[in-house]
Parts: sequence; C-alpha cells; structure tokens
Amino acid sequence: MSFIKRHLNTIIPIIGLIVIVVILQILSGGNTLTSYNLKNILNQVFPVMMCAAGLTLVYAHGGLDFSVGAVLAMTQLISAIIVRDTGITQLALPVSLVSGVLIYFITGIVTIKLNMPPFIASLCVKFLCTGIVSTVLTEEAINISSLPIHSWLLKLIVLAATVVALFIVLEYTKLGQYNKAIGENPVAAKQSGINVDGYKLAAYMIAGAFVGLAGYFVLCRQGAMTMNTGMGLELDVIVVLVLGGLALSGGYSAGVRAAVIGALIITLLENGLNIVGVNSYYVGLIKGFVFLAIVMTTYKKPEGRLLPR
Amino acid sequence: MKKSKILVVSVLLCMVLFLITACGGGQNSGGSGSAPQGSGTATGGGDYDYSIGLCLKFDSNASGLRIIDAAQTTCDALNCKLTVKAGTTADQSLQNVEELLAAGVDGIVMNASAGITNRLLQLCEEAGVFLVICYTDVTMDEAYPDYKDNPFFVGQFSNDYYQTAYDVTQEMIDAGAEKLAVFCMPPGIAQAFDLRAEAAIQCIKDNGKTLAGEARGNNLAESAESVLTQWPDVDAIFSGVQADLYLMTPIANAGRSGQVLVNTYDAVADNMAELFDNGEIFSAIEGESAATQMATIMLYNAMKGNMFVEADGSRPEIFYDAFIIKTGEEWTAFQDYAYKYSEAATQEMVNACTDLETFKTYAADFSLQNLINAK
Repeated sequence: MSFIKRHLNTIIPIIGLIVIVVILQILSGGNTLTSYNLKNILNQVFPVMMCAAGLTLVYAHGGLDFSVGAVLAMTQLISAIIVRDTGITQLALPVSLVSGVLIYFITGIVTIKLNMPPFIASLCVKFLCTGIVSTVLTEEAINISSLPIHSWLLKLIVLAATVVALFIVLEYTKLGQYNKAIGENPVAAKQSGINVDGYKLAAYMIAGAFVGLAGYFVLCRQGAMTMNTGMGLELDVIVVLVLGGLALSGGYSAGVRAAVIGALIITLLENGLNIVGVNSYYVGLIKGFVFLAIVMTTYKKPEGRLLPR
Repeated sequence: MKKSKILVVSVLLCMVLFLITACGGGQNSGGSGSAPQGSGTATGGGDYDYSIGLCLKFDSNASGLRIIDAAQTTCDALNCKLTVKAGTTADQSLQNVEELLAAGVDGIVMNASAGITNRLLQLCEEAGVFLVICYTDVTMDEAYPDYKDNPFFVGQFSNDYYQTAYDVTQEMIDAGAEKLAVFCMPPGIAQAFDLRAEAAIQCIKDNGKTLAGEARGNNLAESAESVLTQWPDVDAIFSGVQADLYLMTPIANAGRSGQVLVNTYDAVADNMAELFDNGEIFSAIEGESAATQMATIMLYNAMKGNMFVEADGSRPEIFYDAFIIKTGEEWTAFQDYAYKYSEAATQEMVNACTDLETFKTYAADFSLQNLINAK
C-alpha cells in the first residue's frame, strides 16, 4: 500500500492511459488500435513527445519555455528555404538540427547572461521567430515535396532511441543530475561547485536539437512549410509534461516518463475521440475533464505542488 | 521494484504491443492504394452507401455551420454518412485526413487543404480514398503538376478568388469610392486571403483611386480598430475576411456607420439583413456551402466509379461564381434556404449529372438566383 502511495503520480497517469485506450477501443468498435491508426497515432505523437522530451532538461532546472512552436516553425522555414534553393534534400535534417540548437542557444544565453526569467526570454524568442516566419513566408506554403515520407518504423526507432538516450542523460549523467539539482535549489547547486550557467545552457542546446529533429520530421510529413506550423505546440508541451506528472518547478521529479506518458495520453485521447466520432464540440470538454481528473489525483494540495517522486 | 523499472517495463510493453498490432495487418477500410476500381460497392458501413469526410476550417461559426448543414443535406440525398473535421493548420489538416481514413471513409471533401494538397492526396492514395478540393484553387499550387494525375484526385470546385475580389472592389469604386483601405489576414495564411487582397489592390490601382493602406494583422480585432484610426477619411474598406464581425463596431465608434462601403466574406453576424438595410454592409460574398455540395457530387460520382475527366484525361478544374449579396432581402433568402441545394434539388442534379459536360452546365448555372428559383 505504501508502495502505491509513494508512486501515485507515476501510477495514476499510466492507469489513466490504459483506461482511455480500453474505453476508446471498445467505443470505436476496434478502430482505435488498428495498425493503420497506430501509425496515425505515432505520426501525431511524434512532434509533441519529441519536443516535450527535449524540454524536460530545461524544465528540470526550473526553466519554462513558450517558444517551442515558433522555434519548430523557424527550423522548418530555414530547412525549407535551403532545400528549395539548393535542391539538396539531404541538407534538411542537419540544417534543422543546427538551427534548433542555435536558436535555443540564444534563448539560453539571454536567460542566463541577462538573468531574465526563462518564460520572458522564451516569449521574446517566440515573437522574434514568429515575426521572421511571417515576414519571410509571404505565400501559403513552400512546397518541398521532394523530401522523403519516413516510414512509421523509422519514426518509432528514432523516437525510442531519443527517449532512451534522454532517459540515460537524465538519470545517469552529470548533465541530468546537475540540472535536477539546480531545479531543486540553484543556490545550493552553485555553492556545491556546479557550473550552473554551463549546465543550463547545455540543457537549452539539447532541447534545441530535439526541436530541430521534430521540425525535420514534421516538414517531411507535411511536404511543405506553412505559416501556422507549430501553432499551440508550447501549450501542448506544458500540458503533456503536467499530465505526465512533472513538476513545473523542476528538480528531482523531472523525468522523461512525463513526456512519454503525457504525450500518449493527450494524443490517444484526441485521436480516439475523433475515431469514435465524438462531435468536435465535445472533444475539448471531454479532454478537459480527463486532464482535470488526472491532474487532481496527482496534485498534493497542502504544499500546492505536484507530488515529489 | 523501483519506479524507473515500472516505467521501463511499461514502455517496453507498449512498444511490443505497438509492434505486434502495427505489423499485424489490421484493416484499413479505405482500400489498398491500388488504382481506383469504382465498383460501386458500399463500404461505408451501416445502412449507408458511402462514408464521406468533410474537412473545413471552422465548424462552430455561422459560416461553418452552413457548410456542414449543406454537406449533410447532400449526404442525406445520396444516402451517405458524413463525418466532419475542422482545422486551420497544415498539421491539423493532416491529422484530420489521417483520422478520417482510419475511420474508414470512402471519400473526402477538402475545404481546408492548408497548402499541402500533395501530401493529403498521397495519404488518400495509400488508403485508396478519393479526394475532391473545394475552397482552394489548386491550379495555383506549385506542386499541382505532381498530383494532378493522381488516380484518387477527383478535381476541384473552387471560386476564382482573385476575380471575385476584383469585381467586388470594382463595384465599390463604381459606387463612388475614391479612397479605399484593404483589411485582410497577413500574407501567407491562406491562398484565398492573399488573392483577395492582391486583387483589391490591383483594382484600386487600375482605376487610379487612392489606396489608403493595408490593415493585415494576425489579430483581426486589433487591425480593425486601427483602420478607422489610421485612415479616418476612407470611403470604402475592402475586407478579405468577416467584416461583419470585425469592422462594424470600429466604424460605429468612429461615427461613420453607413458612410463607409464595406464588403464581407462568409458572414456570421445575426443581423446581416439589418446591416444591409442600414447601408453598413455593401456586399457579402458567399457560396461555399452550396459549392461544397457540388464538390460532394463530383466525389460521389468518383466513388461510384464514374470519375469526371476532361477529354485529355485530366481532372476537372471547375470555378464557380460566388454569390455577391447586396440587399437585406437577398440575404434573408440566402440565409433561410438558398445557401444550399435542397435534398430534392441535389437528387435531381445527381440523376442528371452522369457526365462531366452536364455537370459543367449545372456548375455554370451556379448562382444565388438559381438556388432561390430551385426553392
């Protein structure tokens, strides 16, 4: 019993996920867990899980990011223009990765060196990226249909590999542990001799690589760069992490499981409700109730924060 | 057992289940992705002959509801099941199409292609599902040559957005407008908005009139408020969006109600007839709901195995004349019954339109007056 109590906010999201899948599978007459729809779910979960996983390191040290959607759009824009102008499709992935890392490097530098609250710095970067995208993209879409459509298996492998890699980084390396320590108590971390600024910056750059990778796969999937790409992704990522049980204040509760479980819940729920044929007016309502139920059960009221792991 | 182990076991279990199910050859009711046979067999499930998906931008405003109602009327007439999905972004369009395919639709009417028609069609081809385009002129899509001969591409039934906007602006100028402003979404959001704004500006230039300026911001409410502040002496405002929603209050606040010629697209205001009668709205451009019905008929024929094709084998690129409504009386007639073909009119059209030429004849007659007459 004490085991269940101790791991309540890990267990509840998983139980929630299983319950959602079973109910939707029954209601849809078996259409939710068909091979075809599982591939759809993978396509839909990929960008949000990838971005949420990448940003876990940033959230671990107490950062808060509102720029991920705009950065994703920016990486796509740069990749799309370079591929269109050079005709070399192989450039899309490295360009997207590098631009993601560079943009988050800037966010990190602004946050750390100017001692700016992370959400303010990320909002500034968001507006900058959105402004650049809307200034440069004066047509409905930059079509890059020469980009490959990746198989579901490749996406699954990439997603699994990056999640596992991040799990190792978070749990077994100095980078992960120190970022969590900074999230717990930055002053204590600094006084312990941890290079706080350096580890924070590294977290931002790793997040940038993840967002760049997600941007590349979304670009390939769409075959075009469009104006509204990434719109609302920042809120999706926050919802995903909270649903997965991550404390937004950072610290030792941060783990890649939040990104995995949260992304699966949000995607499965939306996809399943659509497959079942629930009127779109009610989809938001049902999502709201389910999210509320999960968050309420993992929320520790007296301290006003999520349960510690 | 540590919690990390629980996680590892859970994730591994999910991965294994995923792999087993994904590789297990689960059924996609759409088809095999081979060339369309059009056998006419019912695959929609239940008592329906076919299952049709409709993707549009918004499903909760008045304009969206008119489109859904019109599509439902057509589906009722054709004994088809209708599933509606809404979304404005490319990602949402992809997701909507994927989910419609997973739900087993036989054909999709796409009113929100978000500039990625090529990818949407690739998905449809893989699933063996037909796609017809409405509300986008695909002939202007730079990727159009890549998919124009796709066996699952049914064609397009679209308005000539540029020409319509040009005509509307010309009418304002003919009505005495000397100084005009343009109010629209920013460039790049959607083809229709860009063409409308471009046409209006060109028309103003062609007539030697004054272009006061362009208000094209993402936040339409803010842009609308700035129009009368920036250019208080404009005679007319060409709006590429829903002016009835955004511009009426700023104009009233400036004390110029009824003095500025304003058009609107896809109107949503409850008091449109009153706005016409008071001279607050000069014209309203409509027709998408009935056009969606025409596109659905094209799709229905394709699903039945009677794909409309031009003599050279290419798909029809049909343009319709938008309804330009100019009086409260016309608006009332439009809103009450003429925004869609009735079930009987749809059935009559389907029975008559067994070939492209006949369908084109009906398309050429597409007008508000004909809809009123049909009633």
